[in-house]
Parts: sequence; C-alpha cells; structure tokens
Amino acid sequence: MSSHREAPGIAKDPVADSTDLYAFVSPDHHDTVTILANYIPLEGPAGGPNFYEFGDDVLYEIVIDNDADADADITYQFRFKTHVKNDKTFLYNTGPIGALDSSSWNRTQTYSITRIDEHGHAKVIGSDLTCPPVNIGPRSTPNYGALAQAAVHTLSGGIKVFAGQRREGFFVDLGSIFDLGDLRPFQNLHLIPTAAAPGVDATKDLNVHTIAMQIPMTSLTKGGWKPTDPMDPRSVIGVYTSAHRRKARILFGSDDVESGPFVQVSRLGNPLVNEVLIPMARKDYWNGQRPHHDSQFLASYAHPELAGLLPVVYPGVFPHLAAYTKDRADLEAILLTGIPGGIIPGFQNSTGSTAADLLRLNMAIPPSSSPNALGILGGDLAGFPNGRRVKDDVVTIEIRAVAGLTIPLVDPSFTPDGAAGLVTQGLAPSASRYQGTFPYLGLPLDGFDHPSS
Amino acid sequence: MAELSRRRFIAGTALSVAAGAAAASGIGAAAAVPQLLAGVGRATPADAPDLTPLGTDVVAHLRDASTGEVSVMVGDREIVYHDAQLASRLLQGARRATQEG
Repeated sequence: MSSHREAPGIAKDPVADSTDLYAFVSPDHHDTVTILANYIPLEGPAGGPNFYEFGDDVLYEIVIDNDADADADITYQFRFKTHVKNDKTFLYNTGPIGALDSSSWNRTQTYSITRIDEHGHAKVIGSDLTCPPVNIGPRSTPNYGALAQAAVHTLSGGIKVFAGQRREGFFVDLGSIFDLGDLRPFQNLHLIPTAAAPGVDATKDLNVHTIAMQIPMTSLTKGGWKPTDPMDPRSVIGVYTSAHRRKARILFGSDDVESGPFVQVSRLGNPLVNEVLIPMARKDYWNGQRPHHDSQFLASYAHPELAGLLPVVYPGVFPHLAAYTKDRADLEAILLTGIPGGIIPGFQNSTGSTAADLLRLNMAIPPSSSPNALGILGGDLAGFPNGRRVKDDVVTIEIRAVAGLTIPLVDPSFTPDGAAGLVTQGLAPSASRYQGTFPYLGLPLDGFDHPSS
Repeated sequence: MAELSRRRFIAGTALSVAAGAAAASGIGAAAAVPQLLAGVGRATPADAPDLTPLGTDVVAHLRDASTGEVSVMVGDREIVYHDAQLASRLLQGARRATQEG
C-alpha cells in the first residue's frame, strides 16, 4: 500500500510504521498548509481490549525543507505519554466517555510538540495536549464527533493540531496489485488471465492514527515570506515524516530499559516509493536513511522493476514501455527533485538538484474548486504530485507514471502506450471517509458496527 | 564490603601494585616506599570507583572487542571510546556466561 507494512522490519512494528503523508493548501483556509502523518496500518475498528494508540517509546517527526537543500529546516517532534487512571481494571473505559476529562476513560494519552529550527534550537510549542479516545461504540463513545473535535487544539501562532484515530483515507485494490501485478481493467490480458471484475477497496473499513497540523504558510517559509508566485522557488516546501526508536532496549517483562539516541526506523515522503521502487533487501535500510542521502537509491528510480514487469505480465500491452531503455528522468524529477519550471505551464515544485524523497508542495497554487483525483495527470495542479490531498488516487497516478505516461514530460520523443493512460484501480471511495474541515480525514469507524456482517 | 574495609582494600591493592611496578622498574625499596605512601594518600579518593547512581539507566555495548571499542548510552546520548581493559573484562564475563549457559 502507500507505505503500510512496506518493509519487512517495520511491518513488525506498526506503532512506528508511517502509512501515509499528506500535505496540501487547506481548502477552507488558503493561507495555511495542512500536513497529515498517519501511523499504525490496517487498524480494525474493533480493537479492544487494548485499543490502538501512539507509542510512548516512539519519537514522531514532521520535517520541512524550505530552502531547496533537501535537509531539515523545521522539525516538529511529537512525544506521547499514556496515563492509566485505575490500575485495578482491565477496561479501557468503565462507562460512557462523554468528555476528554471523563473519569470513566481509564487509559488516556497526551502529547507534546517541540519545534526545532534549522540551527537546532528547540522550543516546546505544545504540551499536555489531549488525544481523543478511539471510537469504541454507542455505549462507550456515544458522541464521538464532539470528542474528536474537542481534541483539535490551537497553539500560539495559529497552528492547529490533532493526534488520534481517524478513518483510513487511502484506497487501494491491494489484493489485486500484489497478485502478480493484476491490474483489474486488464486482467483478461494478464499472462495468467482471469475474468473481468470490479476493483476491491481493501482499506475501506479500516482506521488509522493521524498526527495532523494546520500551519500558517508564513510559519513554513524561510523568513516568513508569503507565497504568491508559483514560479518563485520560495513557494515550494519539501515534507517528510519519520519515526524513531531508542538505540538500546533491554526487556525485563515490565519497566523495560531504553537508552541512547533515537534511531530512525521509518520515513515517508512520496507514497508507494519504498513499497514499489525499493528492493526488499534494502527497504528497512531505506527507512533508516535521511532523504538527503537518497542519491544512493537512484538506480531504483531510473530503472524501476515494475516498469520492466508490466510488459512481461501483459504481453503486447506495453510495447513502447518495453522498448524504452533510458533512465526514467521523469520519475527522478517527480519523486526526487520536484518538477522544474518550463515543463508544465505555470507550475514547478522543484527543491533543487539534491535527490531526496520529499513530498513537495508549491504553496502558491491555490486549492482547486473542482479537484481531480488524478492530480496533475488530471490537469489539477493542486493535487499529487504537488503535495498530496486525502482524496488523490495516488495508486492510479503512480502506476500510470511507472507505465510511461509521464515520460514525455522529459522526453518528447516517447509516445506512451495507450494502456498507460487507461489503467485505473476502478475505485471510488465513499465520501464518509473524509470531511471538509481539519483534519479532513473522516471520523474513525466504531468497533461496535464494523466490520458489519 | 563496609566502606572502611573497602578503602583499606583499595589502598592495599594500590600499594602492592605500585610496589610491584616500582620493583620491576628497578627503583630501590627504600626510595620507593615514601613515594608510595605519599601517593596512596593523594590517590585513594580519586581512584576509588565512583558508583554514585546517575538516576537513569546506563547501557554499554562492546562494539568491537578486537579494538576495545565500547559504546555507552545514557538518556538520549551515546559516547564511543576505546578501553581495552574494560573490553577484556566484559569478554571475561561473556565467556563465563557462555560456559555457564
């Protein structure tokens, strides 16, 4: 999936596993950027008795590059702390949770946020911030919307934050894609053909844990500059999220010892990169590397394995792609450096020449009044790969890109195969997975009603 | 071990080790003894192992026994240094553990 369980090691450590990263100009507050960093993949709504929560032992980060060097200029660090009010009960709650300070809510989490600038100066900008409970069911969390809304905090400087459970917004036909690259619209053309069938949304009934920030643009740019010109390099930021654990851990059964510096164990910029482009043997290593050092993975972008497989599993469907032997400069630009000016009229999201897997957002591009889920491929400059919105169909976009649809951006002599522009997941996620206001991902599904029989 | 007897033990050990070193280096006993006594008086407090707890856990990792490279982690910090004698003692303990296992 986007980055759910994408590497063998981190798949065994879901609390530290980043699943999706979104960054977009807030559709209802055009002078702010919303960044969502999701963790804990594939949360079943009925998660009791030990419901999902952030890791007290994990350092979560959202990192911003605002001066085109692919390195951290602003880092927001999140640390969580779990509190147990009554250690004599096994229950998460001993009655309905009517408010965030409910005495019936036995196991709560709070968090702090520290902002670190490019000089390494750290400042705590929020502390003892409350997470909402998970959505349990009508008896335990009868008015969940109000509970979740109460956990949206406003910090000084006009920053809004939220950390807690939300509905999974990422949609993917997971079972099909990893069944030897079956792309359902063409499954009859597969080397091992099957009958035509509609796409299956593997994540439609799942939740996730979201760290959400809505930040004034002037707090993200260097020197507090307000982005107005899309062609001005200062309008672009690069974003990634990362999770870190202590270097040493000694297990005693309880009261374990953790010590030493934090070591990065997970990171995410663009969706599906580690999932699809990086070879299995290097995925966890990739997770441990800072984006600034991504030139070491250049070969995986220049000649992606999937681009070689498509013509094999779909004989005769991708002949032009099969014949293309040059480096995939289109993928390198889209995923590693940003799209420079002069390729798409009125647009660029370049962060310089340093190859780094960052989600790049040109903040001077206003939100679209009629968003297209295919983003820039669909003519919508406010969508992926210009940042990423919650409804963007990043799977279809990236499969089409890998299939060759974006090669003409850098190599006009190439004509994409017809199939490259047709392949689609065939999925349309329900509107209930999202909401129009911060944090834009919908309320999590409750465990009482989901999955329904 | 009581504090008084521990200090006596350390002083005694220092004296005997120093005396051995002095003898090996060919310094006469008569000349060495006053120096040793003076040295004991100065050295004991500084050389006594400082076992005052830091209030947090300390984790040591023998990274490379062949070079005596030891990593010590405390809080969110890590320091790497070379101490062949410490590495040797850790290896001694490790060998004992494998034999007992």
